Amino acid sequence: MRIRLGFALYTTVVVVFGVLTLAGLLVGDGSAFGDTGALVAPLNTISNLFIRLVVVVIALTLVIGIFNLLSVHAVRLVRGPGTGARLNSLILLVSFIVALVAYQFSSDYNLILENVQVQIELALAALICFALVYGAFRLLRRGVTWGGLVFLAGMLIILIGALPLSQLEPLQQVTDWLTRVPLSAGARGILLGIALATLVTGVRVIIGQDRTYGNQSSVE
Amino acid sequence: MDLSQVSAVLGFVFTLLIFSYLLGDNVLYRLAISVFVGLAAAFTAIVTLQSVILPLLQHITAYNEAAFLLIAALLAVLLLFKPLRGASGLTNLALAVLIGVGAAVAVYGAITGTLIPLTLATAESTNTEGIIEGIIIVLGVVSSLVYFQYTARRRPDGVVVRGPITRTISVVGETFVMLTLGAIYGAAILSSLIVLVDRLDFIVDFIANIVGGG
Repeated sequence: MRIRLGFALYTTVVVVFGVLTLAGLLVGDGSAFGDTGALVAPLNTISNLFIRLVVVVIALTLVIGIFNLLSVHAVRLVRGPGTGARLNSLILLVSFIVALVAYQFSSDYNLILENVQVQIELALAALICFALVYGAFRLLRRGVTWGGLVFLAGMLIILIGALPLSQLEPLQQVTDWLTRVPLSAGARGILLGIALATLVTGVRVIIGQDRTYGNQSSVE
Repeated sequence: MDLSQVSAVLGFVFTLLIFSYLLGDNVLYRLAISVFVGLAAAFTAIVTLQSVILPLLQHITAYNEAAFLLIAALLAVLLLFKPLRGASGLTNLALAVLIGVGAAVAVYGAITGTLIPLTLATAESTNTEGIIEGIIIVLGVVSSLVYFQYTARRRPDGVVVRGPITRTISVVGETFVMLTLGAIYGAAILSSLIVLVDRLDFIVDFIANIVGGG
C-alpha cells in the first residue's frame, strides 16, 4: 500500500492542532473539572497560544497581501495596457500614500477616512438599493414557484409594514407578529442549519476525514 | 475654505462619482473605486499593524516572545511558496496549522454561540412567547432543518426521491425559510433606501448651500 507521506504529515498537523485547540477551548480555565482542573488547565494555555499564532499569521499575510496589491499596481503603472489602466493604478497608489500620510499627521480625526472613505461606502450602499429593487422585479420572471411567492410575500410584508401611514396600523401589528413568530422561527432554522453544517465540516476536518489541502504536492 | 467646507466638497464629489455608475460603467466611477481600494488597503494596513503586529513587537521581552513572532513570520512566509511547484508542500504545512486551529475555533463557536443558545431559546419559546406562538416557532425551526436535509433514497429506476413525510415537512420548512429570506431582503431594500435618501438629501443640501451662498 502506498502511503502518501505528504498527506499523512498534513493530516497529522491538522489533527494535532485542531484537537488541542478544541480541547483547550472546551476545558476553559479548568474550574468545571474540580480537583483535576489543574491538570487540564494547560490545554487552555496551549489553545490560546495557537489562536494567537494564527491571528498573527493572518495579520502578517494581510500585510503581505497589501504589498502584493501595491506591487501589482506599480508594475501596471509602468507597463499597463492603456492610459486608463495606468491612471487607475496611479490613483490607487497615490490614495494609499495620502491615507498613510494623513494618518501620521492626525490619528484622532482622520479627514480622509471620514470624508472620502465613508462617503464612498455610503454612496455604494445607496447604489445597492437599485440592484435589490431590480432583483425583486425580476424575481418571478423565471417562473412562479411556491418558494418564490412566499419570498415575495415576506418582502412585501416588511416593505408595507414600514410605511408610516395610520391606515396601515392593523397591518403593522400583523407585521410585528410575523417578525416575532414565523420569521424568528425561520431565522433560527437557518442559523441552526449553518451551525450544524459548520460543526459537521469542522469535525470532519479535525478528525482528518476532509482533506482539501495538500492535493498537489504530497511526498510519496 | 475651512475644514468643514473641504469635507463637504470631498463628500459631494465622491458621491457624484459613485452615482455616475447609474449611467453605466464609466471612467469617473472607476476613478472613485481606485481611490476606494487604495484607501481601504491603507486603513487595513494601519489597523493590522497598530492592533496586532506593533503591540507584539513592543512586548518582546523574552526569548519565547521573539520565538513566537519568528514562528508566525515563518508560517506567513511559507504561505508565499504556493506558486513554486517544488516548494508548495511547505505552504500546505502552514495551511494545515491554519486549517486545524480555524476548524477548532469554528466548531467551538458553532456549539457555544449558536447551537446551545438557539436550541435553549427555541425549547423555552412556549414559556416566553405563549403556547401557540411557541408551537409555531418549534414547528418552524424543525421543518426548516428538515428542509436543509438533502439525503434521499434511490428508486430501482434510478430516480432519487425523498419520502412523502420528509417532503411534506420540507415544504413547510421551505415556507418558513423563504418567508424569512424575503423579509431579510425587504429589510435590506429598506436599509439601502434610507442610505440613498440620506445621500440625495446631502447632495440637495450641498447644492442649496452653494446656490444660496451659505
